[in-house]
Amino acid sequence: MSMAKFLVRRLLQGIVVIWGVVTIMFGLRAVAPGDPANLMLAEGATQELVEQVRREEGLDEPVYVQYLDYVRELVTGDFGYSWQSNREVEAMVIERIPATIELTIAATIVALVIAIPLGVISATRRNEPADYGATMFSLLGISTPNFWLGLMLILVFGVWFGIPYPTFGLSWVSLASISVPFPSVGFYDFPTGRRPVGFGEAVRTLVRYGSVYDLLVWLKHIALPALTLGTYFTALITRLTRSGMVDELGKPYVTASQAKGLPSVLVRYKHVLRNTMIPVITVLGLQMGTLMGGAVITETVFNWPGLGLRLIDALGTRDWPLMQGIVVFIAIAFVTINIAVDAVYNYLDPRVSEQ
Amino acid sequence: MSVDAPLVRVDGLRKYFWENDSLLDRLFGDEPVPVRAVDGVSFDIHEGETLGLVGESGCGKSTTGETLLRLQEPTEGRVEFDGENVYDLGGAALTDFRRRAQVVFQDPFSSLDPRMTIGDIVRQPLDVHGVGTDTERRERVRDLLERVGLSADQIDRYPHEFSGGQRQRIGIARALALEPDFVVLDEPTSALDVSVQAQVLNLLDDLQDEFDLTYLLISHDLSVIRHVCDRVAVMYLGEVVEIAPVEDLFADPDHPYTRALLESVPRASTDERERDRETLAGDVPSPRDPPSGCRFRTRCPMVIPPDDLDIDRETYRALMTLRQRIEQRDVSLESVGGDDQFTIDDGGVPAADVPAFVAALKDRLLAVDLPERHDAIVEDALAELATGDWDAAEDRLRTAYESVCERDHPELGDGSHPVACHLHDDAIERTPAPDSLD
Amino acid sequence: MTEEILRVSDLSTRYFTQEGQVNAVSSLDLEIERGEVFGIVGESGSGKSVTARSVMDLIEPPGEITDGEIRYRNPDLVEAIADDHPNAIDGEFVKLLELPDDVRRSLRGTSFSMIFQDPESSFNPTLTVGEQLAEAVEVQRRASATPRSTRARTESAEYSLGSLLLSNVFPSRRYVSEESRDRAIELLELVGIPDPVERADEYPHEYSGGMLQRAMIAQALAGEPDVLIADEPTTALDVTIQAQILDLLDDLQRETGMTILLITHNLGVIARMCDRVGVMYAGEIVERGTLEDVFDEQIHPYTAGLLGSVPDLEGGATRRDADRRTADRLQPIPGNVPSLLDHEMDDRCQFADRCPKAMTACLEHPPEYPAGGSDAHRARCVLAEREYDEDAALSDGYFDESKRPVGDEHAEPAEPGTEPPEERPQQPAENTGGERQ
Ligand code: SF4
Ligand code: SF4
Repeated sequence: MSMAKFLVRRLLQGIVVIWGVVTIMFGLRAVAPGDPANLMLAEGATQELVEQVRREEGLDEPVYVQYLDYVRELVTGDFGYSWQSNREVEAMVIERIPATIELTIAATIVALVIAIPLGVISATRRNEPADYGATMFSLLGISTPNFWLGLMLILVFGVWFGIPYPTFGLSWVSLASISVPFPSVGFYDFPTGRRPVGFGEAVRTLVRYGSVYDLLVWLKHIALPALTLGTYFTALITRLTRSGMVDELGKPYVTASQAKGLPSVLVRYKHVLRNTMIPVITVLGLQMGTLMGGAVITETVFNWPGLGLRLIDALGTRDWPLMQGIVVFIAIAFVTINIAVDAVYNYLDPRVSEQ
Repeated sequence: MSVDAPLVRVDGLRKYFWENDSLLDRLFGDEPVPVRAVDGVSFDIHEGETLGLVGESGCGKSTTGETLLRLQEPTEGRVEFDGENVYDLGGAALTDFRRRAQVVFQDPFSSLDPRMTIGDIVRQPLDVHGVGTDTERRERVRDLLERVGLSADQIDRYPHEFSGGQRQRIGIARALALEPDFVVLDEPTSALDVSVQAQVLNLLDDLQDEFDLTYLLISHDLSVIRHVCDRVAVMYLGEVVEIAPVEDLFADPDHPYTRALLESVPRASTDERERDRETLAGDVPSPRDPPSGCRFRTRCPMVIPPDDLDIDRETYRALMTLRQRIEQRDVSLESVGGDDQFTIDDGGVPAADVPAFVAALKDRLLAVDLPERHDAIVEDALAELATGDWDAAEDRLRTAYESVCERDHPELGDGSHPVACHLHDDAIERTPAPDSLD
Repeated sequence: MTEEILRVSDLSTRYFTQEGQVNAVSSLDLEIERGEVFGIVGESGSGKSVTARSVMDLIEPPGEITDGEIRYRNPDLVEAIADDHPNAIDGEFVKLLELPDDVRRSLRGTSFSMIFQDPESSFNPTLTVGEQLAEAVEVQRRASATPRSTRARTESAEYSLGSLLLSNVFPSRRYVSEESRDRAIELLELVGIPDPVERADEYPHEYSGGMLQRAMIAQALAGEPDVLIADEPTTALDVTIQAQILDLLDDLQRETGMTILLITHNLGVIARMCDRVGVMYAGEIVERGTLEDVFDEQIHPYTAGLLGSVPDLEGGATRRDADRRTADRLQPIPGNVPSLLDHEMDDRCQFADRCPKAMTACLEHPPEYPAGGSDAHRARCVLAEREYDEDAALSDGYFDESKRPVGDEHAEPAEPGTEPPEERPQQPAENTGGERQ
């Protein structure tokens, strides 16, 4: 199959997925209790005002008309206005994207850096203590809930070791962290929805002033959230790498490579590990949804000002347009990543493109 | 030929698998590509005989077997079983056909459900067709197991407790459970060791006598075919190229492919090293795009030159192979000559380089020395190639060397020993005589 | 002039599995002469592939070479290792099993190389064929850069993880050099692959089975090995392609004078290719000698049985003849492939329970007797030194009690655990045999 055809097919599938997400969201909104017009207005608004809003927003139309209107708006890129803040949803989503992307990428990096060596060790020393250790670790990692791990990390590092961390509604942790004097830069900015410093700014500081200070601050803030979000992934990839590599090591071409006298480093890494990573990458792509779900929880626990936190806020206030905007964005991101992963897969495994 | 009607009559059977057949492919305007697994196969199987279907992997022999049992739907053609077209059957008639025609598969390891006891496996067809009472069925299963050389005490064991040969016996018992008339044996012994294979072949032989069975034996192993079959049909690339009584076929094979096949098998005897044989060159072409005319012509050592051409067999073969490579654009101009000896622009070399390029190319593509006249033609064509004009090169060679084997599709014909080869057409002069091979 | 190049003596390879110890190869003796084609023939589970892998040092846990010597004649190597490993030297021979792992590994590709049954799975599907061939060339190039020193030999052949990582950034650190790539193309041409320049850049799945087997042969030749071990090289191929490959091996052998150890279950292939043959059964070589010794003057009833099981292609009667029942019945060996589990093997002739000529004398494990024919003819059977004596014959049901009954019609009851190990997973090397087409 040609690459173009492949991309078109995946794109069509992606559009169907996104359309499905939009429809489900709309359906939920339609059946959810509460009159949207009431939600949009301050409490105690007059009945006329409510009626007027209903008419303006088209809320008195039949549901299918509302649905068609809504889809049409989405297609033209109009996500509407937040009911709560009356700001454009689009802007509210975009401003939160960098933080979330930073977090997910950091988590993925944490996962890959730990998991691949661990998986390799585990596979090449099968049934030795190192393997058992890695297996234990990954079982723990897979079965530990994100939010609990996040809270524990805050507790351990924030409270016991006195490293300050932004917190979410846990006053005892907050109290403990306030008592730590330095570096507390930007720490209190969090509740206002701003990070002390993003990765971009940190790099800019480094380039412009030669100072790593911002970078350290950034690292300090992202370390625990990334670890929390990345743990499940680390565990998963460790398992996948191990089993994939054990499989791969049993294949005849490995024996053949040994028979031709190839150094074991090359057999193990150039041949086996590379082939092991092909399915791992696919699974990674499929697991992006889990990662994003995890991001919502992790952001909440750490008060990380990303999309997830905003989604939780929107849920709390039943701010439907915002909610829909965020979910649609996540769906688009998910689909895009999957297409990218498939393209990479295509590139890595020459057999696929032939089929 | 026997006077009574055959038990199975296969007539023009075709089975294509389609590639590029999705909605999206149509959207892109890609034509669906048929994979011609079975392409117009006809033969009869008479009651009580064993017909062998032999060929190399990918020739469509297994697909033929499955399609004629209606395990796959045909693309075209008919199969008559006892006078009725099996593709028209329905309801009770179809059930009856399913009962009377059975199959034994190649792989004794995957064709038995590992979670069922062998008793249940053999009994399953009886249950499905509701034969007899419970005790009768159990009795019948024990009987069958004994009959295929297993012990009835093993009825509650699982397949993994048996060796390959024993599992194949279980598969045979299952096929016989419903007292069929006709059994398709699809490579029944090719997963087995020779000593075990011999046991199974003897067993099949005994069972045929005992139960009056008619067999279609599908195999790639010529020695098995020779040993078991009464008549043999040889398949190549989706077509039957020769059908003959077994002793005729092995003593006096007529189709060049059959000859090559027979010659290729190494004999287990000390004379083997001295035996002369001609090895077929090249690979089997793809069934997606089979050669025109005779499908074997791309490898046939006997491919027939035009009448007016005075040329020996090897040279003509070499020229035909050269033509194929040019027609398939399977020649790389870039790598002609030493490192960077020629620069290719716009698909061709500069005019000044053409003679040298042609010489180098000829050297690479042709191992034989050509008579002068042909040498000139080939050099002409290669010169066209040198300027990047593939079509012209192709045409030049086609005009000079087109063979009847690529123009006309040889038909199988009738009689007791039909052969699909122009060497055996009465209409066409036999040039050269078929036995010039020996 | 003949000169032994490989002398295997008393080799035993065992697999230690959960079901128990599997005696894959037992006390095996073998001499191979320089420039000859030596064939090992046997059915699945006979230990022929394990033998090949033992010579190549490719036995992986749970398998282990437990006993024996493998001597390899190579005066250059003797000189090179004389200082470091004096105890591994025996005249012009090197005792391979005495060598440390790294030295043994360095002999792969350059002294011994191997081609495998299934070309499709024996190439890495995600690297081009050219790249994989070039790797094999590179192994040889690096080894021969400093042939005299084993230390240099093993070190230069090593390649660190660091270099591998760096090679992603600096092409000069790549393992495979340009020269090796060019040589790989030459090798492809040598084995008859048209348009080798283009084909080198293709992936294994773009090759046909026959082409890929040619490429594998090219890969095995890259190191200009002394001994080429071919493990069922044509089993996965169609007959017309098999004929091509055998011709190719034949030509190459004649040109280079290399020694070939050919492992196969196909007696026809043996007859076509081999000068001398060893027949394996239950982990032992039961008969060996020249092709004529084994095919025409065999002593061992198993050899005879094996030859008798092959349906003939020419001569003899076909089933259409009048009394075909008698004329053409195959003479199979009754029973099944034996168990190789140590605790189920008695110390007797391993074939006794299937042998039509078993006698009381066979209950003692027979040594290798010289047999008639050429000097090299040996058989592990009492018939080599005495006539079959009906009075001493074992009764028909002798093995019924302890083992399984003999017989074609009513085969053995499959006691759990006594079934033949032909497809058991604990013998990874052996499921390559005749069980596959
Ligand atoms: S028709 Fe021509 S090409 Fe085909 S088999 Fe006969 S001689 Fe060969
Ligand atoms: S030793 Fe005895 S049992 Fe073994 S093969 Fe010879 S005759 Fe048969």
